[in-house]
Amino acid sequence: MSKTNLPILSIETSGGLCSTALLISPEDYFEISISQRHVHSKKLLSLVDDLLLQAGLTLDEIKGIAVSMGPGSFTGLRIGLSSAKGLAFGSGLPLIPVPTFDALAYQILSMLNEEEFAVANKVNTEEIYFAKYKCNLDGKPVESGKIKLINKGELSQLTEDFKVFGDAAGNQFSSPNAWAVAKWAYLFGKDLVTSDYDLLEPTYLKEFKIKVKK
Amino acid sequence: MKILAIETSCDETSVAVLENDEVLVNLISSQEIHKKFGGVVPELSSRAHLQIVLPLVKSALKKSHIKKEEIDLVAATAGPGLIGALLVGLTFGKSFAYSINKPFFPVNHIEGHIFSGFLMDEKPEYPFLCLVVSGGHTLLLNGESPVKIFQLGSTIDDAAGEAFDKVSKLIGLGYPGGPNIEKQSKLGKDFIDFPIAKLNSKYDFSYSGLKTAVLRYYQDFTSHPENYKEVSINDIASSFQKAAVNALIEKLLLAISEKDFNSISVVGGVAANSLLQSKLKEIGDKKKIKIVIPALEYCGDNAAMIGLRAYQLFSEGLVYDYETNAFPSLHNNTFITKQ
Repeated sequence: MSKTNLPILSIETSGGLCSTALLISPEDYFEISISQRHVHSKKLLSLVDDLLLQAGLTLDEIKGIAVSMGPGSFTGLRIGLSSAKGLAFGSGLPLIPVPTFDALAYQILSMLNEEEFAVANKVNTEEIYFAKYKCNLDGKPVESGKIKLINKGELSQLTEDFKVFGDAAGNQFSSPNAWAVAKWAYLFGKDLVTSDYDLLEPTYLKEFKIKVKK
Repeated sequence: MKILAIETSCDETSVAVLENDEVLVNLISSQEIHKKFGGVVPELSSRAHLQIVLPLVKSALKKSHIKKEEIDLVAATAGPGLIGALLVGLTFGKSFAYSINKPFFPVNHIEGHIFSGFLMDEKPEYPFLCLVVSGGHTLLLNGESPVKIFQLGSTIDDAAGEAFDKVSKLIGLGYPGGPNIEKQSKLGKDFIDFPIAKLNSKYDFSYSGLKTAVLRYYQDFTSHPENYKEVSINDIASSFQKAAVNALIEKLLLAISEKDFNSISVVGGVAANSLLQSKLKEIGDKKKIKIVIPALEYCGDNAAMIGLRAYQLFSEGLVYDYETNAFPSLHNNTFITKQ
């Protein structure tokens, strides 16, 4: 399988983590992250700037911008994607939209070597984004089913015989680091590279329901 | 200098290109989707901005025959407004500015409105009395210079435009209220006496009493039609409009009687109201004072005023870094001081 061109700049803002990385070779990366809520719109660009400075690169030496597409915080995803669109448009670079859960699954797999596991993140107090992963021969985590929106009560039935990651399972693995977003884009994102990103939207997944007062 | 300006504070996505204080293009894309909900739904607004902003930027550059590399300054509305909506334009603007290695300038939306009269050929003259009347704000201000603005008064409850929207909904004319009420008013007579609030603070406004008075009247009108044979919905709309406009005019007259102003500028969405405009013209003729009302495309939310405001402040020597953030309320990042 052919790989995506390097270096890749990546942006992850789907959750509490505001993370940016530069993957400069298959093994080497720079990453700067802040784990704090409500700072993403303020800090993201400074992190990108620091990252380029540390790596001694300029934007025109980058080959593509990988951005984490969700599911996750609607506002967080929009901060990431509108920043990515601005950077890409200004510097003439293509975007690589990366499915957030796939990048997270890749990160879990490369760190913990689990064969079969699930990711479950809270949407609100009642609902959960849920996806089950299995590892294939390339080391690519494949979704056994699509990402689903489930009720809190369903989680225990769906995950009887394997580990669950994500904030709905009460652990820290709720969003990937930007290095994993970049790495996923490098390994598996070649077909997703696009310069036609004007209308690109985050993977909101959850349908937005409007209650109209009678 | 060439300025690219972006406005995404509410339900209009707008992008403008300016050469100094002269507008080359001002594109506005209104989101129609909110109509069926009777008001702006913030999440839908944010989603739409993210879809529209880049095509609109491309189109603005193309129409002004300017390449993105030629832009010298990128400006975007930072607030006040819907925070999720603001963040789309702001973060896009910042990262675009960064990627072409140009400064970014955050603009206070209300200051954009205040100086929107300067987009016209006939500009306000300092000091000018400014009335900002929109769906979110009703403010009376003394503009002494681009960086010296004193707030004389504001609404203590609903904004003028909000009152139009709410009353329009109450009496079944729907959203958006301003244009609908204005249209129906022309078919009616303004003989119903609705009250205008009297407040302790002489330059403040209040619309909740007027709104309630219209509601009570309308309830009686629908439940006892036999008592209102001579009255139509259009008369109610027209009478409300008269009271709402008079409430504004009263304060303007009071302000110019107490202080010398060289001009009056009335800005914001409600400034497009034709009754308000004709009353202002009367004041201008009678009191021999210059009146500046922005053209229709500059009354509602638009990026041209954001670009102009960025140009004014950039010319004053202000600079911002890329960590500048969005803010939801008026008295952040502003040159307006309360008096």
